[in-house]
Amino acid sequence: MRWTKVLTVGAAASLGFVAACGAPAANTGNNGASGGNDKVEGAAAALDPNAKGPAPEVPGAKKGGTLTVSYSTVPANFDPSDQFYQDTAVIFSLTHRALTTFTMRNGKMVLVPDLATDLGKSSEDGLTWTFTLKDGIKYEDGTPVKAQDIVFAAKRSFDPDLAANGPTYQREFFKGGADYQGPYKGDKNWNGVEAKDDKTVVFHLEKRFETLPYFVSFNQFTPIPEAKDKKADYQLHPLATGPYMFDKYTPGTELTLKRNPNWDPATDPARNDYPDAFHFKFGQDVLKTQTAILASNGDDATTLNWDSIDSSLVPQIEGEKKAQFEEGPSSCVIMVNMDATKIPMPVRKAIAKAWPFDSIHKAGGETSHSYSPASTIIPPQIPGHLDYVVDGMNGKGDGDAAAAKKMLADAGYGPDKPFELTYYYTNDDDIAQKVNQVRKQKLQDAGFKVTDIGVPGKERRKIVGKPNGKYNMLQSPRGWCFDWPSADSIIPPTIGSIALSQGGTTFGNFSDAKIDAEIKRIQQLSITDQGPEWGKMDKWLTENYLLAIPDYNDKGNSVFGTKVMNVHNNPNKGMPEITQIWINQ
Amino acid sequence: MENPLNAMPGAAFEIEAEATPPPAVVAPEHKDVRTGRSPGQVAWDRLKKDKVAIVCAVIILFFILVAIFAPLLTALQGTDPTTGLPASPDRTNTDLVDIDGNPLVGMSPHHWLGVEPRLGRDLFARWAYGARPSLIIGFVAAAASTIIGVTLGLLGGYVGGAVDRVISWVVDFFLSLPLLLLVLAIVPIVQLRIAGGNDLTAEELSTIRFWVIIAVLVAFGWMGLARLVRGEVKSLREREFVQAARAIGVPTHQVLFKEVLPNLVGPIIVSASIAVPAYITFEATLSYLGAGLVEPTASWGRTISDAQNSFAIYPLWLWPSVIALSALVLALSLLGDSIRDAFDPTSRR
Repeated sequence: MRWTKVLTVGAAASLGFVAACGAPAANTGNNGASGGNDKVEGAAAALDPNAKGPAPEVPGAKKGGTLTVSYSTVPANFDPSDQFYQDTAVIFSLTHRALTTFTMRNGKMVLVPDLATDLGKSSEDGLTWTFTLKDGIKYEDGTPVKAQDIVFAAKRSFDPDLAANGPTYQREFFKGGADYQGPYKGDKNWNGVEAKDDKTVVFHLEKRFETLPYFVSFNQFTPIPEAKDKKADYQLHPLATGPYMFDKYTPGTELTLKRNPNWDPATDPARNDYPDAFHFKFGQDVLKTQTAILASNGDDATTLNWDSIDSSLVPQIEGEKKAQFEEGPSSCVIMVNMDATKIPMPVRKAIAKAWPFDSIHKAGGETSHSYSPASTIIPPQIPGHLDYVVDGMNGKGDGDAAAAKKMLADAGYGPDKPFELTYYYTNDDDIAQKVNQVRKQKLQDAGFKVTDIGVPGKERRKIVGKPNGKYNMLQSPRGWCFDWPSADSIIPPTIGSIALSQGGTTFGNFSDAKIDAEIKRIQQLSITDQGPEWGKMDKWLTENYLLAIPDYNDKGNSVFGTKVMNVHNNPNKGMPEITQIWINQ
Repeated sequence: MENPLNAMPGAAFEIEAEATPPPAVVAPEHKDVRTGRSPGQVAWDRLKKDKVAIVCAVIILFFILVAIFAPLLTALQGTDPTTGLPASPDRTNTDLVDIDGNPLVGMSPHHWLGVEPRLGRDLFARWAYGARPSLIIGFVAAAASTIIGVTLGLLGGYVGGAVDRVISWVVDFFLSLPLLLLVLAIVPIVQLRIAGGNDLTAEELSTIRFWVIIAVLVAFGWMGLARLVRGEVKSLREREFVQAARAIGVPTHQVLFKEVLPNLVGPIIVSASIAVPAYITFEATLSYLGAGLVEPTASWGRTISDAQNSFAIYPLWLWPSVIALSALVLALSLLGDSIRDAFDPTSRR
């Protein structure tokens, strides 16, 4: 999943977060292969193939009102095929229905059928998946949704122009997907996805893809009627199937949604429709918006913001405005990346010992509300997460310079022969410059020679995304945001030679036969068995390789006016679960 | 100001007087005896009697002293008891801020102006050192742009012809450029060019940025004066004393520097003294907008930009830099005003 808050969380942006989940290099590195066929009742993502509409009522919720959502980023477009962003995913959850979808039950996310009647049926060999559509699903204009429309949308997600920013799993897993160019430019006879009849969608796969039911919850699997596709202009008014539809959209500025008269709640197990309308305002100033929302005068009382809380407002949301703030885990785990081919293991351990976690968080303006310290690669909300701490590396504290010095001395480095750390930092961002000052001084305190090369942010993304750069640490990715709650969307895409073979950088930039063998072994297991094995591998990696130092788990924040009710964080996205919010008028 | 080599001191004054539109102003009720004094001397005398000018000069002197003795002043704060480190504008002390980045120490004997949120750097040290880039940029850029402006103005006005046309064209061209927009775009580019490769550490980069800003300010700051000088020279060169000097075969450079230039001292000083605060403001603006000085150089503009969002909860961060910048710019501007008045024979102060 792409990180959309790049510009808002100055700190995150400065730390080179962008490349983590947003850079094309990292994007193509998604290699979520998996094996097995059993479904697991996970900590965060249970599957409920039998869920039926309508969605359970929120106790006490009333209909009516307009929810305003003001936030800092600006969606590039609203083309369903092109979406891989957290903010548009939330907006589309109101207007567009895919084959499956996540819904929040008691704070946990559950995968339920949406347009499909179940979570898909897999063939014996796992290479063919069949989804059957529910009856009576209509677009906002009253025309019925057909299986062909889903197929067309799936094909459209291969278009190199219309879906340039979308996910790439379909390329890897769908039969013949590697070279397919979509319905306009590609092979007319391509049938990796086909409609058997008006109600049946069939996916033909290149290899086993047990997490396909998760994948078809993406916007790329919301129906688009071929006859009404205006290509690049379709994004101005994509046809809605959800409880709301586009009312007025001014690209780059705002979007209003109104009720969709052709949405039938009886078919929808995931969505409530309490507000009468939604008003999204893009590119807003974070501090101003949040300050106004906390004051809650007039329209601000019905406004929501999902940017990270500004540190100057922390006293308010910890004090009398506590009820107007909600935080929770997001899908992103952040690491301190090192190049294991250039830094020997004892020195990597010394870096971990010296790493000034707290100082860097402080300098970056991060607050205890924007992150929680991490000691593992797999975040806690993923099934199989193993809670471990290796050598006191718990993402807390300010580093132990003296101990690190001693470790360096033991490894043969001293004042006369210091170990040189070379990294790139963003020098056109104020916070990045400050973070660098702190980091540099603290590493120097621990006896390292630090060569900090300052380059503009865009330049840096390019440089640190290429293997064999001049750096020996802090290359991409800065972290990873999982696309679905399973560790097979975290470890295989970021570690090992398969990830490295995608052309980008990885955790450690390192390949080792043992690591590859372990990944392969776990992928052969059934999903039930995979979880704990990934957890064990996580610990094994940190103990024996320490390719990257676990730093922190990112948190999602929501600030909302006094009349906005039932705001809960979606732990898979770090965004509020917008379909359950209601307005207390 | 005073130029003992001035060939015709009396003439210089007359010119100043004649140049003023209503000749009646040169009224006979003038009591002070000015004969034999250069316009510079006259101005100096008037300036000395101007209370505003004196106060402003004291303020400016204060900031110059702060800038010069910044290390000494910073050292007076002694060693921080928590970190055991002497105060320094660059040293970050994150022990002095809580986990959300809010300072744990306020104004104290060891931190006269508290510490910076998030980084824990000593704010007094940053304030004192922050005076340096402002003053250096202000004065160096003003001096350099004055030299360029005067030289080109003299050349264009005196030589005339093709040279004048080229210079005038260049002046017009530079004046037509949208300054702020261009500078915002140019500073990072020039910096990148100078850096050549990408192997600059934060300190090197900061130094380069500092000089790039001076260069950019000079490059876009000389035109006004050049135009002014050119106009003045164009009228001066037709004057009798210049004609006479040329007639008796005085070399051109002597004519320029000994006959023409002394008569331009007034406007040049006025222009330079107004340029200094303008450059200081511009540096602060650029730093505020993020195209100016970069970490770790301490700069008031940067501090203001950092501190503005935390004003409600930590005003101490913002105030010293805002007050210092405002006071310095105001003092320099008022002093410039006073100097202009002192040189202007029509003003009655």
